[in-house]
Amino acid sequence: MSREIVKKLTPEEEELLRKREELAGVRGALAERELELADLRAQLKSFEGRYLRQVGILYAELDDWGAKIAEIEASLKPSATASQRAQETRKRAEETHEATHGEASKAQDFQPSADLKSLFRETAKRLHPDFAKDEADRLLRTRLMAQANVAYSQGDAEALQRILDEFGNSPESVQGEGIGAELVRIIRQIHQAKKNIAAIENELSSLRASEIAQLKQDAEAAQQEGRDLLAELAADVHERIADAKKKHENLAVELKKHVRET
Amino acid sequence: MSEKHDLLILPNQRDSSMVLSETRSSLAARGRKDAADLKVAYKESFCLAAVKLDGKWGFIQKDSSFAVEPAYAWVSPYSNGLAWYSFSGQTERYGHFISYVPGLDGERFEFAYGLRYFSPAPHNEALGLMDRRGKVFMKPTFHCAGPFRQGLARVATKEGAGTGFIDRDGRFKIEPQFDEATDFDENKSIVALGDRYGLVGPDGRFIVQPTLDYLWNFSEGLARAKAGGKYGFVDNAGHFVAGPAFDDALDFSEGLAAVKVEQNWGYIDRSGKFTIEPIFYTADCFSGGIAEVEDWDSNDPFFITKSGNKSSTDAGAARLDGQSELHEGLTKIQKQGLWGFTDSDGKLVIEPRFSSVGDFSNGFARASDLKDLWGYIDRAGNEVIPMRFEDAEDFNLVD
Repeated sequence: MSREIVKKLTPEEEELLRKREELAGVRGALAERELELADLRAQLKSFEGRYLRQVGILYAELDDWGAKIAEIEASLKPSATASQRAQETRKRAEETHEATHGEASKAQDFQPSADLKSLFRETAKRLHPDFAKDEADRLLRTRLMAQANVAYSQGDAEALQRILDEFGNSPESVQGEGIGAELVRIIRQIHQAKKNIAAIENELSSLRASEIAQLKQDAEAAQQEGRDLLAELAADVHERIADAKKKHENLAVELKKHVRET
Repeated sequence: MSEKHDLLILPNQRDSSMVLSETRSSLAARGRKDAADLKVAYKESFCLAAVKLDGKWGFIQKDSSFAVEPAYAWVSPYSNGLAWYSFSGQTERYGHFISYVPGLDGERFEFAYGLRYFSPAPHNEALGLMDRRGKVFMKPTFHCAGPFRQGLARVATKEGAGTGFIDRDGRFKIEPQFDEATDFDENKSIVALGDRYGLVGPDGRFIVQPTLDYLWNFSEGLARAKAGGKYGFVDNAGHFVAGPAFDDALDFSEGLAAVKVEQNWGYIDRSGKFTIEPIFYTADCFSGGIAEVEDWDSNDPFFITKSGNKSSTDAGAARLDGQSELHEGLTKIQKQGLWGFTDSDGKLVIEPRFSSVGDFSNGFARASDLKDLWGYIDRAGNEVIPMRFEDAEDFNLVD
């Protein structure tokens, strides 16, 4: 009859085992939520880019014509109200131009592969700042996590792998401490991660309620009906630009006549 | 708010207000508002009616202009923004072919007592799909086709070939294999392999293996089914919740189903328990809390309530009421062979002067003159689209 010698765990060791298990679960859940958030952000960013390129620039053009019209109208019938209106319309046109020609309009299509998703999940699980041991570790993880978010949104698997490798090779990832200290650290990490999961849920809700997310949803619903919402919007704005141009042309003739007469 | 804030923020920044700048957010809101306005205009412009002119079918809009020129021997109603068409064939009415099924000339044939909207074309590769503007979406490809339901349309490539399901891109999502199939409804289609019936889901997997003698359409979550020569009712998973023990049965309606035991009809609840004993010679489904039955002693049908007691409702009067349904607040009436409309109080709104009329749908009703030419009238009886068509169907919003 064989007898095994089993080392009996101390209550602290047992607790540490339980907490390690709990931490592993929380790590997985947090990584999953981070992936969901990164995914949604990237999807929205990509859709917004398409919207700005396809429709936004047309709104900018329309607003520009609106401003030109308001300026001529203010010249034809000068008044404080007309002048204020012209200024406001011009300001809006400039803002629209800035927004539609800025960085956001350059966002490219985003279609992450299953491998990329899996890599991001792994990255988030391993280097999330919530699992930092100390302040220096937290700073490093925060920087790397931000880089990972960018890499994911750009579909750059190589960059994600590099970030993961960099972290893996960093001395900060080396473990080694007493049971008590480790227990305290893990409990803090679990608490912080849970708080973060709740914060991510909030952010996901806010993002889903945002105007761009709603517009994306409208476009998807239209697609189900066999329609291309952005193309329809673009066609509509094109028509309005044509109307505005005609109106501007007529007003310009009127202004010329007005100047000649006065 | 400055433009520096973006959708990509650091993990420890969770301020959702920083996600989009005000200008970009209002640009998106502007797009949404314009899209909503466009949708109204778009839907209005795609309220279409099929009409037949010079022997060909097309679709008109409410301003009487053709959205789809009349060039087709047959068109189906639109579903998922697409309509089936055929350039060839002797067809009679919108929505269904005639004369191509031996023995079923001129008939829409039934499948499992549900309307079997299935259109056998005169030859293989006759049916194609067009969009709302009449642009060819799919060239003539199929011999039979049904409407899109839950994104899938029932098709057969050639006569005698099995039936399968295509998606909106025309790709087979469920390979052609069934001898019969119904359109998808609540994620299931009734299918037959040989003379055995079962259920498949949109992924093509059997929910119920084809082992039943027959399976009817689902009503109130239960379907009539026949197994071993007896009738019963199955749930969504194909499990019998009542029977099979009856000699005949009707669908569930208002929680009860009429079933026949030997020669007598009675009513069961959803657990299969008799709530009204089988004592009647005939029975019909419950509607508005009453059902028409006939007993063995008299020749006059009468109504019963759900407790099985005789209702005071007069069967003859109820039948007449049933014929005059309100559509958009108006109902058809016939006087000296001509048709007009009354309102819900029975007040004459449109003088009877038409040879034939349809129900009001989207503000217009089709109506024909004494030369049997069809046009459309508005709710005041004005002829808003002149009577020049050989045939016409109701205006419907293209989904």
